[in-house]
Amino acid sequence: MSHTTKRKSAMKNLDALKAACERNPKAKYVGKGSSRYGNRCKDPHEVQLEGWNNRVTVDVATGECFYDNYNGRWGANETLDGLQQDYAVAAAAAQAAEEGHTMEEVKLDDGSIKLIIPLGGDYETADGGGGNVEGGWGT
Amino acid sequence: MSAVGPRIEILVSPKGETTTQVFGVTGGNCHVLTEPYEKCFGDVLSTSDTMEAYEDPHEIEIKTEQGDGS
Repeated sequence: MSHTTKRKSAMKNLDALKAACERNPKAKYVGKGSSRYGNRCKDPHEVQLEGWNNRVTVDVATGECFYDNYNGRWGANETLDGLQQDYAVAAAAAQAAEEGHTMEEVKLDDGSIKLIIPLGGDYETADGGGGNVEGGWGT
Repeated sequence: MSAVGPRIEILVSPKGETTTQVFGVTGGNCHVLTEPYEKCFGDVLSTSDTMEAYEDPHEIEIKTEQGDGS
């Protein structure tokens, strides 16, 4: 491998947000707008999470989420985390498809998801053609 | 089965944090390969080059297959 970049998901792609809600059984895309946070957002969209008293507002212009779950009492933080995980998978899948690549998805024991995107084509590789797998996350 | 050739691997944590790595490609051009994916995700928490990034770059040819829509 040649570099590693770590990022926190910011949900800026509406199609990927909708796809994440379709992937995630605990999330339902409600629609555009937000009665509660609309004045703070440029492009608000609401999502209802299972077990949450209030809807989450996602400003896809900035990727920010606005919500009030009363420190977990009105909705589990893990449910929102799960939506962000599914968003990242959906966004990567869309990008891979746009570039004409396939994407393999592997669920790991710790709850992480490993996405593998073969680059195809002819590459000069670090190890003479086989790629290397050290430092991988396992399956 | 996992691919073993040149590839991008993205680890998505249960909290939605993503870690992007390139395997099997030398030189600094690997950033070009991952940038579109990283832009999808959001704010950078950290970036670090690994040894392959400092090896002599080779020519890289990217071939993508485009569907004809049919």
